[in-house]
Parts: sequence; structure tokens; C-alpha cells
Amino acid sequence: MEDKKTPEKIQTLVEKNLQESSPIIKMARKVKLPLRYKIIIPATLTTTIFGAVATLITYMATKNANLLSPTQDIRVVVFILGTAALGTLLAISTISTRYLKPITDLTEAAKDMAEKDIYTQVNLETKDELGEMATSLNELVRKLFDSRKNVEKRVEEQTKELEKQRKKLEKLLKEAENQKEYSERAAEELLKYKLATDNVSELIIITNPQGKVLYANNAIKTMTGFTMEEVIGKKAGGKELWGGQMSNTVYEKLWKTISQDKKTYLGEVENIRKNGERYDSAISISPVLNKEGEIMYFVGVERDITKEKEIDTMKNEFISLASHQLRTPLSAMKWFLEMLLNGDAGKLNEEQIKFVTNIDQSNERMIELVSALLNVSRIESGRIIVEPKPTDIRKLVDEVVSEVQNKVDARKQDLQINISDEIPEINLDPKLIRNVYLNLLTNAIKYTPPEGKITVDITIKDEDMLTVVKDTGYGIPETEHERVFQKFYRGENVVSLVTDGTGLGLYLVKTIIETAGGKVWFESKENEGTTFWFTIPLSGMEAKKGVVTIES
Amino acid sequence: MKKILIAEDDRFLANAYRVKLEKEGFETNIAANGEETLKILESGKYDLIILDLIMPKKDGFETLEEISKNNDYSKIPVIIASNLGQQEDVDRGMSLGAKDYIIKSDMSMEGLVNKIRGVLAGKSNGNGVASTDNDGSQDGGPTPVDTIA
Repeated sequence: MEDKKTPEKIQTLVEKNLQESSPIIKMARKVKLPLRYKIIIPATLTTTIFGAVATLITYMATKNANLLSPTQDIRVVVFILGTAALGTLLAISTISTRYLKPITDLTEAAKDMAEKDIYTQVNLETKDELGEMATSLNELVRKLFDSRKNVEKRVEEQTKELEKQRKKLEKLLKEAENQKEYSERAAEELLKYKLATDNVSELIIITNPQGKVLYANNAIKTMTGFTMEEVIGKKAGGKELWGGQMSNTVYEKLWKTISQDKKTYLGEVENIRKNGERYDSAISISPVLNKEGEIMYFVGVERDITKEKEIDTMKNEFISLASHQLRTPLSAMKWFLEMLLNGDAGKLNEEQIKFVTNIDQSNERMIELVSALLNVSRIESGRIIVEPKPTDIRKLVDEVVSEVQNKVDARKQDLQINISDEIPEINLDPKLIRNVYLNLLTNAIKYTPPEGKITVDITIKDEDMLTVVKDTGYGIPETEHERVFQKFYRGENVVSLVTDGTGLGLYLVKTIIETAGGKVWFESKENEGTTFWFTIPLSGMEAKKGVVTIES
Repeated sequence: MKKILIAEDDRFLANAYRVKLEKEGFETNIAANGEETLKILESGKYDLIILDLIMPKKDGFETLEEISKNNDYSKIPVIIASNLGQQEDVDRGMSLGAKDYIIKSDMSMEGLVNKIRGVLAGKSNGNGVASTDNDGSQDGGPTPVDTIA
């Protein structure tokens, strides 16, 4: 509901001075007397004066006459009274008009204030009731004026205040607008990521820190047979859903890695679809931490590797079969050559022995090559079984040494083994580590001339077991250092001296050590010798559920 | 004279066995596959079986399983001679009752003969790992000069 009229702002107090020309009235005003006296006295005076004048005139006129007749008396009285009355009338009307004029002004001022919002101060300078009334009215007007002014001032201030607030609000609104725009853009971006996540072929799930599923992407149906609605709120990886097929140890390790160690767990598990079909899965589960390092979510990514595993299995079966097929004729040759050399088909002459020995040696090389190739093939498929067990390094190395001892003796080499007492039993796969020592030691023996020196030192360094195999042999040329661990690499400086060697030994060594979580490196100078170092963490090797073992 | 049944589908290898073993004073017979092996066992009495694993018409594992279940021949000692080298093959073979498992390409004839004599005398492979010339369990065969295994 709006005001009918908005009051105009009052400007100022209007001063109204009365114009009075008559000096007598001016003077009379200045006299402080109640109004009635100011009227009565002049009126009485005027009456008296007029009466006296009239009486005088009558006297003058009737001086010479005798006593007035009664009718003349009345005329005289009437004349005197009449004149006096006239005088009174004149006086009173003049006075009242003049005196009472201020009332009009006051009335006007009051009306102006009430109706027109004009505030007038009437200056009367009359010292009587009218004056007092003027003073009071003026005061009233002034008070009202001030009050109005106050109100106006306050309204102005408030308006200013409101304006400030409005401006603030405007700013906030603008900010909110910006936020909204930003949010919209962010939502668009997020939508992109969500679409991407939803539609990749791998299964992606997000769980709360207790492992209950919060989100699963579209692959959930194709991979597990469950729908997103069916899995939300349930525990991921459990029998209720598509997991629970592995031993408890697996799940315990998984849980420890992601929730206690707060690290990503990578592994392969067998899962089961809603319809009961089993499948192999490569899983990666990562914790998502907030700034304080607390777990907010787990993110799991799963890839169906059933096909890959099938291919792997086929490959391994092929490898197995190939090894058999290749070795069969080699075995036959080996045995007949043995019998030949043994004289079982008759005594051989010197030359014959030489020829047959050559064939026999070549055959042995071939057998070795096939073995090494097969090991490499198995390692490359990444599916070597690692079966760690607590192993006494001393015993393992001793076994390897006894295997090569006759070679060392034949070449009159000096072999020294120093194993620190502090080395505990380490959890490692003895087959694999034995292969490492055998390869390094065999190389040292092979590539060191007779009467050379070979040392093996095993100590603890930080968190690892460090092995150093040092020889005083032919060394590896500087230009070939890069290729040392490559498959089939054989040092150009030794290939003619030492005819046999597959070139695969170091490749195997490197792969095994790296699988064990260690490092291998070397230093070598041509004709001065070679030193190989490798480390194995004291914490040991991790078990790996593979498919193949390497052969010794 | 001890009688040895050789189950081996490769004729060259089978020949090598025959020549060597007869030279060492054993009587031998050869079966070219699993089926033949079982048939021959029915008609004769043998002291030892040398069993190849990859054979046509019933492989070594199946044959071994049937032998172990048969009352008549389950007592005959079996040495598996194969070129399959995977640990799981060894485990499987030993768990089916074989006395030893050798890898042909890694074993010399002399070594093989020693093994045979050992098994006939009652010994068996105790360490669950395939036997080769280099496992230190017995004297290896003649090692050609300067070859490292």
C-alpha cells in the first residue's frame, strides 16, 4: 500500500513579519498588557474623548441659550451619546481589526503547517495574550519543524544505510552468480570424467573406508553380472558379491596393504560372476586420503584377464611341449655319443675321439641353449612361480660351490667364499637364487684364465643382503657395458676364447633379482677383471602364484 | 637277470636304452606307448619300469596311475625318464608313486645306470627334485671338457 502523497521535504522555517504602518499601533503593541485592556482602554479613551468633544460642541452651541428645553436635552444627550458611541465603534473596529489581525496570521500559519506543510514563525512583537499565543505557536511550529527535520535526517541516514546494504547485496548476488556459473562449468567437467569413468571397459568401484560399495561403473554388469543397485552398500570383494574365492591370507594381505599401510594393492584374484562363472581378474585397489592422511575412499579397478591367462596357459603348455620335443633328439644324441666315447661300439682311434668329442660338446651346448631359452621364455611370460621359504644362504652357496668345484680345481683357480655370520635365514625361493649364484659363479670361472682369483663376499648392507662376486678375469669392454644384461649378449673379447655360453645367464640373473626386489650392477675393466654386486632385501621375496618354474 | 620295461615313444632313445642296458647285463623290452606298456606288463614279469611321460595313446601319468592301482604291478618300481622339467611335473610323478624322476637331456647313461641299480637295491629320490647328472646325488657321467652346465 503506497502513500497517497509523499511529503515533500520541508525546506526551512518561514519568517513572517507583520507590516504595520501605523506608528501608534506599533507603539501599542510594544506595551505589555493583556489584550482586553488594550482594547478597553483605547476604546474607553476614545469614547470619553468623543463624548467630551460632543459635550463641548453642545456647550458651545447652547452657551447663549437658556436652559435647555426638555426636548433639546434629549437631542443633546442623544448627540453626545451618539457621538460617543460612534467613537467607540470606530475605536473598537479599528482596534479589533488591527489588533486582531495577528490572529489571522496565526491561523494562517497553523493552517499552513497542518495542510501545506509550511512552517511559519510569526513574529508579532505584541506583548499580550496574542503575543504569548504567537510565541507558543511559534514554539510549537519550531518543535514540529525540528522534529520533522530530525525524522527527515534519520530517514536520509537510513536510506543511505539501506543503499549501502543494497550495494552489498548486489555484490553478493553477483558473486553468487559467478559461483553458479563456475559450479555449472565444474559440473560439466565432472560430467566428462564421470562419463569416462562410467564407460571404460575396466570395472571401477569406489567404496567407503569400510569397504562398502558407494559407486560402480557400467562395467559392473558385464564383468560381474550384478547391477549397480545390487552392489551398492554391500561389502566389496566378499562372497555376497563377486569375490571371496581366494584364501583368507590373500584378503588379509589386501586389507592390510590398503588400510594399514595405506598403499595400492596390485594382484590377481579369481572372482565369480553372479551366474556362478569363475573368471580371473587383475585388480588394483588404492586408498584415497584427505589432507590429514585419513582414508576417505578406496578405489578399485578390475580387469578381466581370463583371456590373457588362457593365452598364457597355452603358451606355457607350448613351452612345455617344445622343451620335450627339442630335447628328445638331443638326448638320443647325447647317449649315443656317450656310448661311442665309452668304446661301447669298439675302440676309437685318436682322431675319431677328437671328432666325436667335438660333436658331443656341440650337443651339450645345444642342450644348454634349449634349457636357457626355455627359462627365458618362462620368465618373459612373467609367470614364474616364486615360492619363498626360509633359506640358509650359507648352505645354498655351499651347494652351488660344490657343483662348480671340479671346474675351479681343473683350472687351478683360487675361489674364496666369505659369508658374514650376521646373515639370518631369508625368505627366498632357493631355486631362483641358486640360479643366480650359479650363473655368476660359472661366469667368473669361465671368463677368468687359469690360476686366476675369484671371491664371493656376502654381507648385510642397510636393509639388504649384499653379494659381491669378483674375478681377475678378461673383463668386459667399456663399449659393451650397456648390453651386458641383454639376451644372448656375449663379450666380444671372450667369444672365441670361451666357446660355450648361451648369453642368457645374466639376463636371467637380472630378471630374478629384480623379481626379488633387489638390484644388480657391475664394474669391469678389460683384462683386469669384473665385479658383480647384487642385493636381496632381508625382508625376502614375495610369493607369486605363477604357472612355471625355471629349471636349474 | 633283471628285466626292465622301457616305455619310450622315440625309437632312437629306445634303442639307446636297449643297447646300454643290455650291455650292462639287463633284459629289456620296449613299449612305444602307454597302452602297449600295460599290455606288456600283463604278459610278463618285470623288475623295473622306465617310463617316458609324453607318449601317444595314454601318456606316462595316466599309465602310472593305472599301474599304481593295479594289485599285480603296483609293486614294480618306476623311474620316470622325461624331458619335461617343470616342478609340477616332478611333483605329480612322484606323488603317483615313482621312485625317481630324471631329465634325459641332463643325465648321462652312466648316471642312469647307477640310478637303476640304486632303485633296484631299494633306494629312491628323497628330495622331491628331478635328478640330473649335477645334483651330486651320485657320480655324474663323463663331462666333456670345459663345458659348464
